[in-house]
Amino acid sequence: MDSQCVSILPRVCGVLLVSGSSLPDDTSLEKLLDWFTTVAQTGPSLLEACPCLVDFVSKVAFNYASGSSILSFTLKLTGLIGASEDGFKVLKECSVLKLVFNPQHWQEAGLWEDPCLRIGWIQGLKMILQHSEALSFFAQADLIEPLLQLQTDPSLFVASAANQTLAQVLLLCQSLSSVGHNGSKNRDLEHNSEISQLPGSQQILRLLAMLLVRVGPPLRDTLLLAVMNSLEELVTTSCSQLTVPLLDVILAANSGLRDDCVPKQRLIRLLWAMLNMKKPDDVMQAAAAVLRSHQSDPALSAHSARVLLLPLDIVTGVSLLDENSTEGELRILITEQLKRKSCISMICVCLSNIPQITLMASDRLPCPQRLIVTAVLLLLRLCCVDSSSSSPGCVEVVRFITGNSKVQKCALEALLVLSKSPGVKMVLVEVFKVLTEYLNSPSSDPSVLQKSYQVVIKWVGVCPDLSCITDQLREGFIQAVRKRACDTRWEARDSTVEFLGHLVEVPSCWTFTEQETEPLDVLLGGRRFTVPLLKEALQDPESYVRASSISALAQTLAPSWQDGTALTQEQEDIVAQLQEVLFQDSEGFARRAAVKYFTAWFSACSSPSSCWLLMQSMPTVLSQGVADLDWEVKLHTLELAELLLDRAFPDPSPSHSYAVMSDQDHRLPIAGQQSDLLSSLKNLVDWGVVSALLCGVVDCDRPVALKACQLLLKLRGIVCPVMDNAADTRVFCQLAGASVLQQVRKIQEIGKDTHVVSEACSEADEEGICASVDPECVGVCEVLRLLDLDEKLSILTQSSDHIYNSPLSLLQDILTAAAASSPPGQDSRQELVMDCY
Amino acid sequence: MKLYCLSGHPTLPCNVLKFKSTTVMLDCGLDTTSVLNFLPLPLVHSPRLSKLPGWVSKDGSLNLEKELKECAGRVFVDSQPEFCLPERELLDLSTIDVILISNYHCMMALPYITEHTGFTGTVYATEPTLQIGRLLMEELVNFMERVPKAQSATCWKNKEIQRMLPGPLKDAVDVWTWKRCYSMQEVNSALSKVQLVGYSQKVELFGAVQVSPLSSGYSLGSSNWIIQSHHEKVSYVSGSSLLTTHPQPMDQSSLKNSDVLILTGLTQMPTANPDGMLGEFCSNLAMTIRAGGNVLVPCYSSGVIYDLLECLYQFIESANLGTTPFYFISPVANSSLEFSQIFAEWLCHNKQTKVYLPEPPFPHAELIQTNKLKHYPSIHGDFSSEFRQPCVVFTGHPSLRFGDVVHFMELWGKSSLNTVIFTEPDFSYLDALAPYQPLAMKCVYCPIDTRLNFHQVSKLLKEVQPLHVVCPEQYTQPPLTQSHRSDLMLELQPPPMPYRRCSVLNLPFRRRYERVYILPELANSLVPSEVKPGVSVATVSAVLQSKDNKHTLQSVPKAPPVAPSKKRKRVMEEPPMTMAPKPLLSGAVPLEAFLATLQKHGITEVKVEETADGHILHLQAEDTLIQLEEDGTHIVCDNNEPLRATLRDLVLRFLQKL
Repeated sequence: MDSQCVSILPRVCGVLLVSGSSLPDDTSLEKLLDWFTTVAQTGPSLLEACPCLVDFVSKVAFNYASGSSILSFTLKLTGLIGASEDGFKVLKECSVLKLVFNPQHWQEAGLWEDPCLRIGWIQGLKMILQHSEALSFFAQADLIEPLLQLQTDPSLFVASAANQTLAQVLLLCQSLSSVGHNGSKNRDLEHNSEISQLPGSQQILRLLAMLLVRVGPPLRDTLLLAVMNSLEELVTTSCSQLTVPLLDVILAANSGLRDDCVPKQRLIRLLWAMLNMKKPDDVMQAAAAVLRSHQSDPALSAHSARVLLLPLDIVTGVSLLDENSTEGELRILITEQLKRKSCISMICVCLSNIPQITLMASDRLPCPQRLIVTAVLLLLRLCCVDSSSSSPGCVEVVRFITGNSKVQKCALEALLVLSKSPGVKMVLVEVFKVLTEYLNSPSSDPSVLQKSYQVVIKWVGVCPDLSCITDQLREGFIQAVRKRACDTRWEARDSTVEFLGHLVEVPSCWTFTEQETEPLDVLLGGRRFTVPLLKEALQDPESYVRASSISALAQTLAPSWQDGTALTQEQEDIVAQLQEVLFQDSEGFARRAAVKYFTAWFSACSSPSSCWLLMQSMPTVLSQGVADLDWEVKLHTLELAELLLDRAFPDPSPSHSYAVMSDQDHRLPIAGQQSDLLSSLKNLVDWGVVSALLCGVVDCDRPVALKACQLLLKLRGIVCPVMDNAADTRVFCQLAGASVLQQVRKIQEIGKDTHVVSEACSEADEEGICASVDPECVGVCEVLRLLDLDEKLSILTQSSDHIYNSPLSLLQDILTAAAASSPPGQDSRQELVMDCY
Repeated sequence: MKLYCLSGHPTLPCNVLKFKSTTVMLDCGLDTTSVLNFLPLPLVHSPRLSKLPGWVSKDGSLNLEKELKECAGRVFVDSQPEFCLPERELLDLSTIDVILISNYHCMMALPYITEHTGFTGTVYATEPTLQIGRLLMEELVNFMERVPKAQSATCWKNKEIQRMLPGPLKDAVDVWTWKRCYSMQEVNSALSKVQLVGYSQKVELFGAVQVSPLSSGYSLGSSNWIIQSHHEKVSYVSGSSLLTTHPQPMDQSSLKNSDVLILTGLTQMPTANPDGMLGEFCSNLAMTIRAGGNVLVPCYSSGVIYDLLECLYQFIESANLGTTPFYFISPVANSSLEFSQIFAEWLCHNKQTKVYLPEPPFPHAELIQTNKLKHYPSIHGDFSSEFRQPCVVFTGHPSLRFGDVVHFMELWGKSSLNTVIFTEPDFSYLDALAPYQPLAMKCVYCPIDTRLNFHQVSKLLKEVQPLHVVCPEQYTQPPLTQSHRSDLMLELQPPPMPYRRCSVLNLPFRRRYERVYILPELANSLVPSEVKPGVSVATVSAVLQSKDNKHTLQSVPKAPPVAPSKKRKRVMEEPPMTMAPKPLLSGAVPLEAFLATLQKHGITEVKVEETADGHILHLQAEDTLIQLEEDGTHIVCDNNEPLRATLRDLVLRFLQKL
C-alpha cells in the first residue's frame, strides 16, 4: 500500500467523521470501500495497513449524527475488517462489534428505518461471516431473527441481500460443520418450511433455489426434507406467479440428486404435478423448464416435449401427437387460449423450445423431426401476409399471427435449428420456397428478412445436394434478393449484402453428377451476379451498408485471391473505389471495412509481392489509414502493417538458417543476413509501414499508440541488433505527420544535451537524421533507438485513467471537497443547498 | 328512411338516401372495370393489335369477326370502350334533390346522372374535389376523343349471342346499359351544377335536414358527410384514411352518435400495407433502372402519384438514380401538379405550414425545377424529342385500355429489361395485361390503397358507436381468395346491413320526434306547473303551421269582432262559445291512502282485486266499481249521481291539476 495514502488516511477518516455529506460525489464511499477490499485481499491485513480504521469505526458507532451513508459505509467496513480473524478479534476486544451489529442499537437511534442502513448492516454481516468465530458471534447475538425478518423487507434490495446473507450463513454452517450452530440452522429451516403468503414465499423460494444449487449433500437432504411438504402444498395450490420460482427450486434440487433417492422420487412427482396444472401458460412454462434442465427422467421429458408441441399441432393441424393421448384436457384449454391474442406468446414459447426438443433421443420424440419441420413450415406460411394457404388446424389463430414478426422470427429460428435434423433434406425445396416467399413479401420486417437469410445459409450449408433447386426456384430467389438489395429500408439492404458475403463461405457441395458446385452458383448464379450488386452497394447512402458491402466483397473475392487468379478490371475498379472510401467516406464503419478489405486480401494472397495492385495500394492505404480520425481505422491499419512486418521478417523457424535472434551476443552478424534485412527494411519503408508506425506511436488514441509502439519494438528487436554493426545501412523514411517529426527532433535535442545516446552510435545518428536533404526524412534505425520505446510502452500499457482512479487521488478528492466546503464553509454550503431546491 | 343502392362496387358507390322528404344521392362513382373487355386504343397505329384475328365460335355458327378480336386466348370487343353506369331504373333520377360527392374518384358518373335525366338539383363538393375531378374527367374525355373509333359494336350485346361468348364477356352484366364516355360539353354542364362547400360547413336542405362534409383524410378535399335532422343523424363514410399522407387528417369525432352509418370505400387491398407497397415500388423501380430497363407506372393523374413522387424524391438520391429522368404524361399533368400546390387549406398540417415558407408543400416542385421530373400533355410534341432512356414514365390510364400508357406498353412490352409497376388498386393487373400477351416485360403489382382497412375500421366503429351500420355485402364476408381470413371482414354487433346493386334497404330506425317552434307571445301565455322537481308542464292551445319542413305553434287567431250587421242575427253566425278547457290531471292514485280516505267517508266494505293494469275496487254495499288503471280511472256507479260525484272528488284529491 502506498505510504502516501497511509499518511493521509487518518485525515480522511477525520473528515468523514465530521462532514460525511461533503463528499466529492456519491460514489466516493463505494470507491473507498473497493480500495479497502483490494487492500484486504492483497495485503496481509487491513488493520495492519490502516490501523486508524478501528478508531474510526468505534467513533461512528457511538455517533448517531453521522449521515446514513457514512453509517452504512461504516457497517460494511466493519464487516470487511471483521472478515479476517485477526480483525474480528480486535473489533471484539474494543466491543465495537456487538454494538455495530445490534439492530436494537440502531432502532433506538431511529435509524433502522433507513433502508440504506439496513443494507449496510446486512452486507457488513455477510462480509464478516467468513469464519467460525463470526458464526458463533452470529448465533450468540441472535441475529438470525432480524435477518429472517429482513427477508420480507419492503425494499427489494434489502430483501434480496438478506436472502443472500441467509444463504451465506447456511453455507458457512455447512463448510464448518460445527455442531454448535445447529440452533440457528434449524430455525432457519423451520422458517423456510413455513412458506406461506405470496410475497414472502417468492423470496423464500428464491433463497431455496440459491441454496440448493450450492449446498452439499447432508445439508441439502435435510433442507429438502424440511421443505418438501410445503413445496407440495404450493404446487397443488398452483399460483401462476409462483410457477417460475417453484420450478427453479424443484429443478435446482433435482439436478444434484441421484435417481434412486427418496426426495428425487417426490420431486419428480412434483414436476408431474406441475405439468398437469390447470393453466396452459403455467404448464408450458413448466414443460419448457423441464426440457431445459435436461432431466434424466425420460418419461418426464417426453411428456414435456408433447406439451410444448401441442400449440404447433393445434395451429397447423399437422398431427405431431397421436390423438388418444392423455393431454386431451390440455388440448382443449390450449385451443381456447389460441383463440385469444395471448396465443402469440404461447406459440413463441412452443417454437423457442424446439431446439431442446430436437436434442432429445429420437425414440423419445413424440414424432419424427421431419414432421416438426413440416409443421413449422406450415406455420410460417400461415404467418406470411401474402400467402393464401390455410391450415386444417385452428382457424381463429390466423388473424393474430398473420404478419406477426415475433412469431415469424421464432419460427425461422426454429427452422434454423431444425436444419440439423436427420432426414429433413427432402423438404429443402419447401424450405426454400417459404424463405423465398418471405424474402419477396413487401410486409416482411427487416429483422425477419435477416433471419430468413440466416436460415437459407444454414440449410444450404447442411444440404449435400442442391440439385433440387430448379431454375424456376432460382429465378424467383434471385429476383427477391435483387429486390431486397434495392430496398428502401437500409436494414434490409444491409442483411442482403451480408448474406451475399456469407453465402460465399458456405462450403461447396456435390451434385448427383459428382460435380463440385458452390452454393453461390446454385442459388444466385455465381459471382457475376453478386459482385455488381455489391459494387452498387458501395455507393449506398447508409454507411452500415457500405461497410457490409466492402466486407462482403472481401469474402466474395477471397477464393480468387487464394488461387492467385489474375486480377480483372472489375477488381481494379473496386480497389479504386475502396481507396476513395478511405479518403472520402464520412463514416468510420466504411473506412474500417475498407482497411480490413486490404488486410483480408493481403492475408489471403498466396504471394502478395507478385500482386502488383495490392502492393501498389499499400502505401496509400497505410498512410491514409493511420492518419484517419477514427481510432479503429487506425488500429486496423496497424494490424495491416503488422501483417506486412511479419511478411518482411518471417518468424524464426528451424528451416530458416538466417533466423533473427534477439540476443545479438550469441550470434555474429553475417554480411548476407545484413543485406537481406536491409532489403526487407527497405521494402517496409517503401510500403509505408515504418512511416505508419512512426505516425501511430505518437497518436493521441492510446490503443493506437500502444499497438504502434509494440510493433516498433518488434521491428527494433529484429533490425537494430543486426544493423548496429553494419557499415552503410542507412535506410531513410519519410514522415507524414508533423508531430512525430517534432518529437523526434525534440528527442534528438535532449539526446545531444544529456548524452543518452551511446557514443558509438551517436555520430551515425546525427548523420542519419540530419544528413538527408529532405527535412522530413529520418533514418529508421536511428529513430528506433532514439525513441524511448520501452518507456513509452510502459506508459501506454497503463490504462489512461490510472491516475484519476488511484486511491491517492480518491483520498485527496475527499480532503479537497471537505476543505472546500468547511472554512468559509457553512454559509456557502447552505447557499448551495438553497440553490438546489 | 330508405336507401337505394345504384352501384354494387364497394369503392365506387352510388346510393340514394330518402330521408325526411329529401332525396340525397351519395356519390356517383363510375365503374370503369368494364373497359377491360375492350381492346386498347393505341395512339399510334399498332400492327400487332390490328392483326389480331376476329372471333368465330368453334362450330362456326357465330361470326363476330368485326366486333370481337382474340388475343392470347381471350376475346375483346373492338370498339370504343364503354362504362358500366350506376343503375338508372331503380328510381326516377329527376327526383333527386342533391348529390353529395365525397372525393374526386367517386364523381366520375356525374354527367350520366345530371344530364338528360331531368335532374334539377344541386351537387355539393369541396373545391379540390371539383377541380381535380374536372381534371380526371377532362383527361378521360381527351383519352377517348383523341382516338375516335368509328365503329360501335352492339351485336355482341344481344342476349342470345352474349350467352354463347367465352368468359369473361359471357358473364358481364347489364351490358345493354353500358355507355360510351360523355363529352366535354356534358362535363361542363354537369360541373356547373356543383356548389362548393368547406369542411364542417352546414348546408340546410329545405329546412328538413342539414348536410355537412368532414375531412376524410383520403385525398385532397375528400370528405365524409353528416346528414342530420334535429333528432336523427346519418353518417356517410366513403374513402377515408388514417394514414398521414398529404391530405388533411380524418375527422373521426364528428361521426359519433350516428343512428345509421353508411360505410363504403374501404381499402381494396386489405392485405397490402401501403408502406410496404411503397417500399416495394421503390425497390423494383431501382432494380429495373440499375439493370438498364425502363419503368412504366400506369396511374391516375392525381392522388397516389403525389405520394409516389414524394417518396421517390427521397429515394432517388439514396438509390443513385439522380440522373434517371422521370416523365409524367397526361393531358392534365401540368394542372394536376400545380393544383396540388395551391390547395393549402386541404393539406395535412405539415404541408400547410410549408405553404407559408418559400418552399412548396410538395417536393415534386423541386423535382421539376431540377429537371428530374418532366411533364408533358402527351407523347406527341416535345416529349418525343426529349425522351431519353432508361427512364420512368407515369401515365394513364391504369386500365391500360386508353391513354398514353397503351403506347408504352406496345413499345416496351417486348423487352424483359423493362418493368410495369401497377400502383392503382382499381383494376386487376392480370386482366389489364391480357390484350398485351405474350409479354416479355416484367410486371410488378404494388397496389397502394391508403383507405381504411378492416382493422382500422373496426377500431373506428368501436369509437364512434353507430347504432346501425350499412355496408356493401363484400365487407360482410372474407375475400373469396382468402376465405380463411376471418379478420378481413366486418364483424359487428348488431351485424351490419349488407347491400348490393339494386338493393332497396329500409333503414332500421323510426323517426319518433320532430322539432316544433313556439312563437314568443304564445310562449308568454303559458302557465307552467311543476309536476316533479325540474319538470314543469303547461297546456297549450295553438295552431300548428308547417311550412318548408318547419313546424311552428302560433296563437289561435281571435275571431274578428263581428261588424254590427243590419241583417238579422242568424244563429249560425254566432261565434262558437270558447269553453275554458277542463284542467288536465296527472299523477297516480295510491291504493292504501285511497282506501283509507274511502273509509273516512264511510265506505268500509271494499273488495280489492288485482288486475293486469291496476286494481278494481268493489264497493259492495254501494254496488259500485272503481277501476284504477295506469292511464285512467273509471267509476261504475248506476243511478247514484251523488255517490259518483263524491267518489270522483275523492279520486281527484290524489291527482294534480294543470
